[in-house]
Amino acid sequence: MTEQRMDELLAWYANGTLDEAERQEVEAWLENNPDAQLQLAEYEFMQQSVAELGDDEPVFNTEAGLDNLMTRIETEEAANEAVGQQSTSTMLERLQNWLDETLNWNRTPAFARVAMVSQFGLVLALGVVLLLPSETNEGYEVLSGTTPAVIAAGPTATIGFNVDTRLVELQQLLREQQVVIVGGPSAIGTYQIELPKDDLVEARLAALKAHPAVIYLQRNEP
Amino acid sequence: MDSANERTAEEVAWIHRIGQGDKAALQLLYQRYASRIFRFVIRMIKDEAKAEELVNDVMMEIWKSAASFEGRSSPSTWILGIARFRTLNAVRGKKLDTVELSQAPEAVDEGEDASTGKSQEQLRALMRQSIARLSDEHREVVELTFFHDCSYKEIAEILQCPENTVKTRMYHAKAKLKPWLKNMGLAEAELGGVT
Repeated sequence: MTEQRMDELLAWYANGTLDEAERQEVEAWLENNPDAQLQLAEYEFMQQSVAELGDDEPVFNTEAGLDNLMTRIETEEAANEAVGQQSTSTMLERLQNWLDETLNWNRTPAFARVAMVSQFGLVLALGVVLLLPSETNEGYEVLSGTTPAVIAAGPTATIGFNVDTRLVELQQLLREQQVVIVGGPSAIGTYQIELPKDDLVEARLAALKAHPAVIYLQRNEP
Repeated sequence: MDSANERTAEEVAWIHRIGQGDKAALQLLYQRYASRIFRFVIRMIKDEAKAEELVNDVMMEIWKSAASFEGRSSPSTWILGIARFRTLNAVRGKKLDTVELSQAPEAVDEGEDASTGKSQEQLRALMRQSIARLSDEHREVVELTFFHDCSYKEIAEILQCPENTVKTRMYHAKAKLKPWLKNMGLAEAELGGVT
């Protein structure tokens, strides 16, 4: 063990917190070592000085501090309780006040109250149904970007048709290329189509693009 | 079980009771620790009122977080760690003054024998002044060692630094105090019988 390491441990030898093995090592080092003993004496002097409270140092008033702390805890507890009670009662009270003020609820006949509550329940249920996410899987995303993308079975493309195209003509084109419209129209009038998952995808796309009814065609990234 | 271990076990039991909302246990812990926390804090900042406030902030945090105390460190390490964290936050947040070297009391002239005509009490006061002139990180280690009786392992936990850093800081703190120690008459010849 080096001199420096021993010197580093000496402070904690002085305050009595070394473990047994370290303590024994330090004691062995101290024996017949006047320099080390001087170092220890210096640490002991530091210890005595630090442990003592100086005349100019303020003294903490424990009793007053404890009173303050207990008051602070009680105040906080009371505030928490009040907030807890308020949060449960306030909602009900507010609803009751609102009903009284806007609907004269207290003066409304009982059958009318039942009818109003039923209607409100029905509206609420319909709202929930409308807001529930649709289970339809959509393997595309419209150009407006608002429809969530869902994985489709085959390759997809975005297509735009000439507005003058007749329905029968359009149906024939789609049948020939075995294409299915899976979505649209988007805000700008394009549709999403799904092509068969075979080796003819590029040829079908070329055929669609070449058709006079098609004014826009862009294959979607897989 | 020695008295230090008994004391620790007692404090751990108090903290568990505090975790269950026992205010009597909080009062016992307060009576044991408030002055120590105050002393620790006041030596980091020079604002007495703020130091008093910080003592109660620390105790309030103990009151609220005692239930999560797992006993991985000793109660004193845990408490002084909270005190240090709170104090540093207060210093950073409110721009409180720490004790700067320039504001610390003047140390004895290194060229003069400070022990001449001075009592032991006066010499210890001079030593405290010298320690007050150390940098924050050196003073902290000296205080935690000699006032709070912490082991170097506990100090490393409180300061959140490696144990070797703690030892090195003490070594350097001592080296910086060496001229004062020498001037205070702690000469080899006067230390007969020290073991």
